[in-house]
Amino acid sequence: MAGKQFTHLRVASGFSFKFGTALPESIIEKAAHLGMSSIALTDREGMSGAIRFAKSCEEAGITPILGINLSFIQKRYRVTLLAKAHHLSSLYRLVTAINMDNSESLLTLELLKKFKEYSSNVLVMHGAESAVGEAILRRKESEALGMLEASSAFFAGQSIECVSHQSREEALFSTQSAARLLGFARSHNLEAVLTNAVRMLDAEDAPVADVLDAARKLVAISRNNIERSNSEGYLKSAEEMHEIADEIAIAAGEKNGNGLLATTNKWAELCGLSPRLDVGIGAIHLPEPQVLGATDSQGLADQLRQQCEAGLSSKYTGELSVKAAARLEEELTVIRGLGFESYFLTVAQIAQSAKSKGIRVAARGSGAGSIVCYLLGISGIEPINNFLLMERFCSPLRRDLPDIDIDVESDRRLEIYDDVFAKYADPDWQSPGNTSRCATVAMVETYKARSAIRDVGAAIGMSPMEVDALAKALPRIRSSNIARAIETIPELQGLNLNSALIKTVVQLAAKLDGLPRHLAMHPCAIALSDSSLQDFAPLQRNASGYPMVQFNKDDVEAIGLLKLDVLGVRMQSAISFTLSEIERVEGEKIDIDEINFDDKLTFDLIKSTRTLGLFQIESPGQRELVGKFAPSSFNDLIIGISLFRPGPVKADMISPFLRTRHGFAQRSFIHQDLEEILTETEGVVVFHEQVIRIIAKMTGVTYADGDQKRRLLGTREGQQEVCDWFYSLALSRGYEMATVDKVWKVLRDFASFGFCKAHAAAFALPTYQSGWLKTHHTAAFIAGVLTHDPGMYPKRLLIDEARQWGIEIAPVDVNKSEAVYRVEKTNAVTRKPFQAVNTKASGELLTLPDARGYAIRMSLADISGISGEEVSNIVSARPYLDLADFIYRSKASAPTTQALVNIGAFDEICGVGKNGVNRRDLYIHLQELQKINGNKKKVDSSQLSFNLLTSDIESLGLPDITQEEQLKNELTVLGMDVTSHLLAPYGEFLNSIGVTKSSDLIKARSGTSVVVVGVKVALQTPPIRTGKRVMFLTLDDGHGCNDLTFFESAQENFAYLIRNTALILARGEIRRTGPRGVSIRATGAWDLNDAYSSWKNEIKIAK
Amino acid sequence: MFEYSDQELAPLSGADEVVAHEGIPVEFFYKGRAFHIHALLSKWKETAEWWKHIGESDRLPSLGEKLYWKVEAAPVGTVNTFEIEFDLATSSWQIRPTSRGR
Repeated sequence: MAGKQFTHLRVASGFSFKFGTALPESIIEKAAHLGMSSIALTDREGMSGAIRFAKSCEEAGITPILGINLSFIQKRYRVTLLAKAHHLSSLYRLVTAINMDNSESLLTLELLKKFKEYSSNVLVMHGAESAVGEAILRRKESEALGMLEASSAFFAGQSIECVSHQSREEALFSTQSAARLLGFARSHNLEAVLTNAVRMLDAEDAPVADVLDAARKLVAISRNNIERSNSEGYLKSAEEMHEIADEIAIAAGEKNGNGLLATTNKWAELCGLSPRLDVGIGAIHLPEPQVLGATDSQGLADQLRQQCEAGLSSKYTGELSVKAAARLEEELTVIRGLGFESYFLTVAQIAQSAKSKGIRVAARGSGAGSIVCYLLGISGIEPINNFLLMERFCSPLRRDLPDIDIDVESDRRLEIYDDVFAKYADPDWQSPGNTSRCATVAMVETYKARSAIRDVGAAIGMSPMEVDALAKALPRIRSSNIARAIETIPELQGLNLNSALIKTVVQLAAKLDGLPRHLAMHPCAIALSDSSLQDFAPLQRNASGYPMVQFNKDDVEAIGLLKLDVLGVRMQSAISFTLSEIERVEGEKIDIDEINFDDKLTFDLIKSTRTLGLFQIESPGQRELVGKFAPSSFNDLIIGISLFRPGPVKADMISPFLRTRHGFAQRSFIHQDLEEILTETEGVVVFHEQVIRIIAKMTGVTYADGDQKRRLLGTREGQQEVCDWFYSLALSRGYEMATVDKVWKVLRDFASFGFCKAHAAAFALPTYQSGWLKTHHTAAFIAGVLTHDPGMYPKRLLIDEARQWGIEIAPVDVNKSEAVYRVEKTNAVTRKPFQAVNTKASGELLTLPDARGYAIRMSLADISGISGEEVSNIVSARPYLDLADFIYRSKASAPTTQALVNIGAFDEICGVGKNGVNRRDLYIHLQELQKINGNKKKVDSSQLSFNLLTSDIESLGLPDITQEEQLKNELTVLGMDVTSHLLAPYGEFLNSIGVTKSSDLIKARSGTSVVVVGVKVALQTPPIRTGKRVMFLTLDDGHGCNDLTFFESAQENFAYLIRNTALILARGEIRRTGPRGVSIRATGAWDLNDAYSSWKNEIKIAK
Repeated sequence: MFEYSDQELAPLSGADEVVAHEGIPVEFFYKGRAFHIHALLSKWKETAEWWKHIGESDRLPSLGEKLYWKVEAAPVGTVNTFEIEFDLATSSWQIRPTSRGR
């Protein structure tokens, strides 16, 4: 049997969304196993599997063929197109042209006429599902011939496609139908090819195909809803295909299938592609020098040098500038060697263009390690003093394009997209020969546990409620792990998981694991290239209207496009807003990127753990670490951010570091050569950069080599390789065996937990900047955070935070509030801010800012149910004379008006509080106005509104609303307590039971038993080192935050309560963890309202 | 793609014994009589409705695929054998019944 060959010309993979059951990789694996030398991928409607397919083909030594199966002439007819050898780009461009024309992947004759230059390099197979095939099967042969003639001029070749799945006689994929198509081809001298219309790897995958059919059509599985009649549509062997060829040919009156097979083979040879030359794997495409204003690559290099040198003189002085110049030379040499000038200049151009529009831009990731990035203004981190290495980012030993991500203001992110498209794209996407150089990038959504359970459940007709319960309870895991997850998740015990039905559903769901289900837009990636973008990637329009390559980010990297992640970061928006508020209110223009990194007041604020709202260090866990650690320099912030991640926490890197930092333990550097490298982190290896430097120091290799070895440490095999190499080189350089042993152990254990310092430094920059703003412009900063909501806490906590700093909270006022939170200067000072605090442990006096004299005006945007349009209407029609004026001119809806009245937004203009008028009088006034307003529509409106302007509100002598009612209104309308803290009504009770304020905890000794209270603001159950579950609860009590820890013993009785209660009273023991570190080990928790009502009852009884 | 007809032919009872050669039916016994297959009109393969059996056991139901043949058959013996003779000299026909196995 050996030697029989067959090439499948029609294969649908999982990238035929919700149709194909196998990933391209698996298809190639089986094809290789079957000894095939070439194979096609012809997914339905798209080509997003192409790169993965070609990569797998290259690895397996199989020749790839690429095509697409799509609608032709009418939506219901399908044909398969194949790219001719060396002409893949024509197929890509044709597919792009179709997608830019319509969203249904419908190829029309008009499109063929317009894009003949592409289609004339494309072959087409007309099978039983095509218009031609249908005519043949209906015995309208002249019609079929007419159609073939009409399209023949546009394609490089046409063939009749024969498929037999041995279905029932009258079906499209029956031997009889195939034979009829073959007979037609023979009698009209047309070429006929054999395919198996593959959509499955093996016959056993048929249930998956049925589930996908049902999921695609949003119906339950039934005979009528599934497309297959049997399971023959799998990847068959050459032998099996030869038998089918014979069967069809004999049924068509031929002697055997050799003729059919020979034509199929000929077509396969016409279409064979090279993964490198045609698909473009391993290539690099960067914008041409001309795009960046240079004439050739030398000009580009000169331009890069000039820009960097300009940065050198403005950013460096003295001794450091000599080092910097040398470092720049080194980096430029590497960049020249790699030919990546265009890469750096393009990213710099985009960053500079954004900055010129006033958009904040900051590099994230390893790019901050490069002095070129710093000098070009892409990154704000100085690399030499911060010990950052370029080699971690970009190395002569790696040909791949380095990865730069830029963080921008989240609300202005799309402006940058528009900017990039304006510069790098050719707006007429459909024109032949379009030379666009940029597009957004796709993201392939795949089946995971929840989605798989949902689709399987619906397909087999499980009750929607049952499906929902099962899906919701599952964590975000792969669907192949569902069975194991079910055993370990207590919340699932209520379902009858041992039922045969659920077991089967789980088995089916596991089969969907990892299959693509949808092509979405990557949330932040843009691909840039030279003008050949459309030759190497098919495009479509995504949901937001941007052109998008059908490839995901890995694919885009594989074919060497420049991938730039533009991440929207709310903190950048908040910082930007803060700066504009400072300028508006104070007339002071601050360049936040030029502030000093050694501001004592900023570090005092950070050490006080009052870090709410600060980037990266506001979570309860980070606040605890900051309290223990007391960071006092920018480098400390970098270390803190690096340590507080699951890896280092799990490996307990934090405790040894803190012990040495606070002088409880001796620093150990293993060897004096490592002292310089490890001093900054007290002898603990924290950063990738340190690993690279240790390797380089002890073996004498370059940093670039050091980074290659570091990358190898990630795998077991790699570790062994590095181990042998490291020992022999380090020993030969005279290090003692004991030293090498110790260092190797550290490298092995910590390399995988280490963090890229450049990345952490890039994060630490907005951390420091936000800390500086909170310290020096507290009110403006909190207003910025409230407006852009970047953090993890509810807004009511930020309002409370503002109050604690002595900032007044100005209520919503229709004449003053806007869509954002505004800062106002005020003389009314009602609160005392924090006192300067002294910590016993360090004896250090921390100075905290006094933010009095400012108010934050509540915004209209947070009124529940208000629309953006309503807000802008209200603001643009200001000022209002009174409530009636507002009703007639603001266009606000009745519920919005009512909500505004309820929270006191009209108190000021309606004179509530004067002449005995109170809120209740205002409610009645509103009701009267609305009654008249109801009639108004029937009468001339201008007259009535004019009359009403004079109406004054009179006091009816009713009692005013209570503080509780006001709080309730605020919570309903705004979700925040504005005029007083939520706990205010409980004051008497809390005093009587001796509750400790969170701000007083620092004064208590470790081990003291306390009772605390608060509104739940965060509940986290992070992974910890022992693997046991710990719950971290944060309670806001109006004086700060109480951080409580519930260990397993305490969870049993209280877990339910703390999960489901908002106002919590808790008891526990104080644990001092560092100079400012205080946490409470909880021993009990109660619902505050329960405790309050029993106390009230007791008082009543006592009275 | 596949048009399914709901008028499923109910299997006739007694079709319980089939003589096959290399997997292809040749003769079968039906209602106590032996039938000989004279022509295979078509054959096809069809899946069973596996989804209707979900929940009957812990396992995924089997696909239950079936092979079908449409044949022309007649009871053995009801087909008579004839010998037909044509005289080239006189251009006349002669027909003589014979029988299988004589």
